[in-house]
Amino acid sequence: MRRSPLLPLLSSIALILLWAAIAYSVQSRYLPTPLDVASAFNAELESGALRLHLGATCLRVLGSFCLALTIGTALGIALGRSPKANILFDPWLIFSLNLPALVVIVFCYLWLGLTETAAIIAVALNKIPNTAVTMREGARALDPSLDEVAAIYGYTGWKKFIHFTMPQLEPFLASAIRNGLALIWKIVLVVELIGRSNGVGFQINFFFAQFDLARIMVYALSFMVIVGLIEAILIKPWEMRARFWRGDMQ
Amino acid sequence: MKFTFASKSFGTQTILAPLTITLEKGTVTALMGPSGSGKTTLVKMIAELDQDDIQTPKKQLKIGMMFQEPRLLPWKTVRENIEVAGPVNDLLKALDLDDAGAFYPRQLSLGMAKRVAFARAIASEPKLLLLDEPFTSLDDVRVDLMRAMILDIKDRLNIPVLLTTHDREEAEMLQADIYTLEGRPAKIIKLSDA
Repeated sequence: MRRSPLLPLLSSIALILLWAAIAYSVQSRYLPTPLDVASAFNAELESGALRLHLGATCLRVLGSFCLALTIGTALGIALGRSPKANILFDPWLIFSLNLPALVVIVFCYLWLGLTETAAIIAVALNKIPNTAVTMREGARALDPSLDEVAAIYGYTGWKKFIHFTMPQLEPFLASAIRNGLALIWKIVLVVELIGRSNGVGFQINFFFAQFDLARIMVYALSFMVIVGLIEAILIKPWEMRARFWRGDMQ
Repeated sequence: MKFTFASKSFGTQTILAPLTITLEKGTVTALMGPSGSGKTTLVKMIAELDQDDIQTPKKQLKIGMMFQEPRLLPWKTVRENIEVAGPVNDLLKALDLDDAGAFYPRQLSLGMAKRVAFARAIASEPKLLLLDEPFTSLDDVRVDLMRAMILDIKDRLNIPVLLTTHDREEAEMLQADIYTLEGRPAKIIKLSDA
């Protein structure tokens, strides 16, 4: 079935109308109307606070995302390619997958202090196991018959990685990136809420203390829009390209 | 070119007895034998694909190889797949693939994919050409086309060509030296000179 581009737009408008209808009917300070939120958005934008805090959060997301993706990918490929390493480190991976994000964050702050480094490492540590698991599956799915093709035509080392290995891993990497972004931005807010003095998480905590739900929604929605744009402009097109040759995306 | 190997085993089963095979420049050599006799194994040993079989000293030949399955890179187009080995030049046209250069392997029939694999094998202008059952899945017209190209390449580049086949008539049409693998573990026996 061909997907109409209007449908998601109409669905979003319907959601806003539903929110407005409920908010106007209950008339509660705990459920601001869309107009209240728009007004708060304007105030935060004009004061420069929105830009400052969104920027801080985005930088943290970027830093921890790059760190988690690099380490998780390398780890996943190593585990996928080496059965011995996998047997040895699989319990570590299971342990870290089941470790609550909050515990990792608290330990990082206790060990490294309430610093930017601790915040970024805490977020990355929470994401690395997920990336490693996804990339391990990718490495296991590598076609060994293509290794022989690479050997015949003299592709070794990095040249082989770029031309033979990476294209096979790309769909898994795209999946890791997509899931990673969704997970990381949520953890970043917790990290900011607990131990930073700026960022969206910090602002949400600040306005929570003042029962200012309109501003909480301003920050939450603004950040959701940014993540949505990154997904639509960067990740989705790349994922489509990465999967095109498999014929499962047209 | 003379290749000498010790016996080859998989687990406890010995597939090939110690053997020597000589491939002459400008000559086609056909390797025959029933399924499972070790033809593909021997071709891979000659290509030094298994570290256990690498000869001392290593020959380090520039090899062109067509595997039994096309083994194209599914993320590359037909043209890009050939470029993995060397320049495309007029190979697409010669193999009746001139409209398929931008296709991906999943868009090809098995016969077309095998022709692309053949183009890749010869694109690098190899010093040794190994073809593992090159004519299966091809129609008669394409078999004639590929056969003519094999003969042209071995003369033009003056290289040895080794192919595996089940069809003696096919081997004779290529004026090939014919070897067969027989027994278990298989011994190599020369049946005829070109």
